[in-house]
Amino acid sequence: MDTGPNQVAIVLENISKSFGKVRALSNVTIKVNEGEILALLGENGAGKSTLMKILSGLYQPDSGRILISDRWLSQLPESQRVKNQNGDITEGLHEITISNPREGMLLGIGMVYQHFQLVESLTVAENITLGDEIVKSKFVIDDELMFETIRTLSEKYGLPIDPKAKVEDLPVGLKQRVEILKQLYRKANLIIFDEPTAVLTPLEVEELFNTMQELKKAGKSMIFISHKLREPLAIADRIVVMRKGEVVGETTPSTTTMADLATMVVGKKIVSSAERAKTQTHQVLFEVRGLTLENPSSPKPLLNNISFKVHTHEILGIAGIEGNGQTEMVDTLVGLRKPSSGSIVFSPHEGQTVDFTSLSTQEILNSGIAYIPEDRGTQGLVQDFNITENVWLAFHGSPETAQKYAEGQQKTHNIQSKIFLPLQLMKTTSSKIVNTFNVKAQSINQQIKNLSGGNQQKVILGREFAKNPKLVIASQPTRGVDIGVMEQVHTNLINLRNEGAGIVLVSADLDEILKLADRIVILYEGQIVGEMNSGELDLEELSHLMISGTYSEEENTK
Amino acid sequence: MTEHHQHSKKQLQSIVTHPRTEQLFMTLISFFLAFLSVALIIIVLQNAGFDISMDQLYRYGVRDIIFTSSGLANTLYWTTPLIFTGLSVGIAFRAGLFNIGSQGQMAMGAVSAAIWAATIVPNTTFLTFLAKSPLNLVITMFIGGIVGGLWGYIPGKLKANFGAHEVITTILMNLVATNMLQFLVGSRTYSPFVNRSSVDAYGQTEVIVKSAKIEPINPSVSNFLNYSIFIALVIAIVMHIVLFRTRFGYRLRATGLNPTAAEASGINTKKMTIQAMVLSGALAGIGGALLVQGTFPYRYNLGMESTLGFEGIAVALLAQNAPLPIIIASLFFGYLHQSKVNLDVNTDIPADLIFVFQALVILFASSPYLARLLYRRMILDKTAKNKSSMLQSNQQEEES
Repeated sequence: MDTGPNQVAIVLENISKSFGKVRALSNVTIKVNEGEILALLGENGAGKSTLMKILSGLYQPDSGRILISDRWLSQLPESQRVKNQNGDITEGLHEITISNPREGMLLGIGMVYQHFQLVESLTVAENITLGDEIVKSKFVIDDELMFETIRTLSEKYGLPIDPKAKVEDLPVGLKQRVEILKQLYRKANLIIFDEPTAVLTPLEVEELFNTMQELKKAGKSMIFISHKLREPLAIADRIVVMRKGEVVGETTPSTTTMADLATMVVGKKIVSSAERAKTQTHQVLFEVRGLTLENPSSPKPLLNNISFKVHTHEILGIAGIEGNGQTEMVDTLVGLRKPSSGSIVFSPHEGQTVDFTSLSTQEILNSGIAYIPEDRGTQGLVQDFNITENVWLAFHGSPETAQKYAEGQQKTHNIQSKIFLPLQLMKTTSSKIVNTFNVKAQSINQQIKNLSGGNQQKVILGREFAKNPKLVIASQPTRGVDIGVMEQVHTNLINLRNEGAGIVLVSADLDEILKLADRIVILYEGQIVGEMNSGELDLEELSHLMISGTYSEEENTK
Repeated sequence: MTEHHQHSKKQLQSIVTHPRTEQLFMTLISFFLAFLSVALIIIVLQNAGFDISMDQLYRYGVRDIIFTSSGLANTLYWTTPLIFTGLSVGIAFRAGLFNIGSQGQMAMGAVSAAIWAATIVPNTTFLTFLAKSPLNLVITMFIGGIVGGLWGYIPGKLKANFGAHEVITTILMNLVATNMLQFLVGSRTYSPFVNRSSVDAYGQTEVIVKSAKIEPINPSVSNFLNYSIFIALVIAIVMHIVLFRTRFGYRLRATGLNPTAAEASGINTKKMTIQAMVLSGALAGIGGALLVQGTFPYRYNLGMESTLGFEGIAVALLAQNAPLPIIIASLFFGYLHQSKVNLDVNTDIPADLIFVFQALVILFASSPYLARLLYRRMILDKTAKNKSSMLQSNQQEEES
């Protein structure tokens, strides 16, 4: 198995990092050998990006060390060598500090981002040398030498490219090659690829893998970040799996299978269904049929023929890795985007149906649904408004709803005016929500941006649940909130369900879906690829569907 | 420290650290810095051999305006249109739109009001009754508002439907307005509404009918200051109510502060964009109409809108787009405008010096870094120690 000098190049040791109360990484240790391709696998939010940002100098770890090999250190430019030589030395490894991305670059750590960092109107060579130009005199760039240098560089690593071509004329695969050459030009020892295949065609992926093999021969170390399974298995020497900020396993492609890997990525889930009142009458409340949303910039639609039903007394979980059409689907459901085809029918009472596709967002929201947007900061709240004004966002289209909630049958305030705001009613509603949902704030006039994320989320939930909705469309309702608020949100959702509401729950957190949903549909690349009842869950299949969009191989051959 | 003492200190703390106090202080610091800068410029100019008489500068730039009743009256005269253009820019800002077009909207409002009251009313048989009816005063004002509103509607519609940036389109609409005015009243040979018998060098309309005129408040003090200032004050208060007390204003502010959230809550942000631009244009247009209706000899002449539209941007900026503070900011810019006129008429001192001062105030007010730094150094640092202890006690309260 020993290919090349299997010597440690860099070690990340016991790295921990928290953002506020959220622990992004805890005691993560990984090491990369010289001339090795290490795949880092995990779901969104597993901590991959945070770890890589620490490695590239963007973030500083709260604790832990970064160590590089003797050999690496001796290859560094003078200034960096002297600076880091004083660090702790253990077993031929030197502790280093990377205080900013520029230092990371000087230390020979390069990153190829998913979204290219290129100047489209400049040539390949200009892009590669940008920031470290080859100059004749102080202000004049030596074009000849620059093109020559880049040509030699590309030949040396077997990455053919025309240095004089304009970047805007290149296909995506070659743009990525420019990014790689950029790192090589800066003498990177370790190249991090952030989801490099996400933008590539299958043929280009093949090309990239060849490139990576070339680089491996040249002794470069690589980290390959991915949340797909097939690719690490095809290219990596070693696979490290991360989940919820921790390393949960390490394996090699020769000793593992896709199914094992899927379980490792998603984790062993405990189906801890929350307490639910069993109910008999299940009437269809909300039905989506053949929903399709075209993508103006690509022939592949954003949403492809999506159909599902939500019944009364039911929580429908939409599972899936983020970026598979969840955002677009929710936007379409509430009328923020108009579907290319398909129907969305809501039946609040028996015999009564409303077709959302022909309504405006305002009319949809007035029809008795609650909408918890995915991104509370930008979609859910106006940061410069105070609590009361933010609460009112849910009621400005139908003040009667607020009146019903705040005053019951009393109707003390006149809200008939088409012109003026019912200020008194706004205050009463806001106070009631703040008290009921235990929002921690100095007063209802406090600006929402001064509240913590959890309390902001409580304001959104409070105002939406105050509508006494028949249907809830909740997108990532517990993102970035602490355990306490999460419990509160879950209890509220279950209570609403028990009272008869239907709930569409979109969440990237599979635990949340497993805990709450009565039924689960799996979204993959804009399509629904599977459906399961919470009673008869096959977790392995579920993970597999989420990650690859297909049932596992045995299933396929049947 | 006694309980009471601590309490009052805490209160003082909360006043000092309140964002509004900070804003007020920062505005004052901006003035101070602008003042210092202009003083520096004058010293440099004097050393370079330019003769700038401090005596004259004080006399015509300050004393004759602040300490004479006619000077004060003329300041108020300029305040009126500035309130309108300030509100125009401010309302658009509240909706997240940077309306640079108040200048053109005001000019179009002014010329249309003049054409209405000087040409259309006396020459249209079924409208001649208006020449004597007091109703015409309001109608003329509205004509200015409607045309100004149209001048705002076009960029608003372009923005809402095609995403054309309002800064570009309103600037272009200003150019359209300039050339439109030239066509309407600029030439004695082809302009349809020009006063052909006039001997003045610049183009002008006929004099408006008496019923559209707004009388001076006290002709013995000033021929300029007229009753339209009360209309301006009322409209500023109305705009305050519109913004903060009405459903329309709520939606407008939500759209301006966070269009994504506004849309997600059901607000039709495109409609809001158009409505806000129409309102913005209408305010500038009414300001233009009142300029014609209240200024002797009661007609529109080319260039009478001066740079009042552009100064409206400065007014709104200084007042943070709040209608009531816009009144105060207009007063200040009205004073500067009058001092500019005064210096121009009476002295050799370049009135551009006032322009420089105006620009510097805006510069310092809109780049708050320096002012904030000074404010924090001067006032907050002294109390920093107390503040940190206050924070601690706050935390304890939260924990308990």
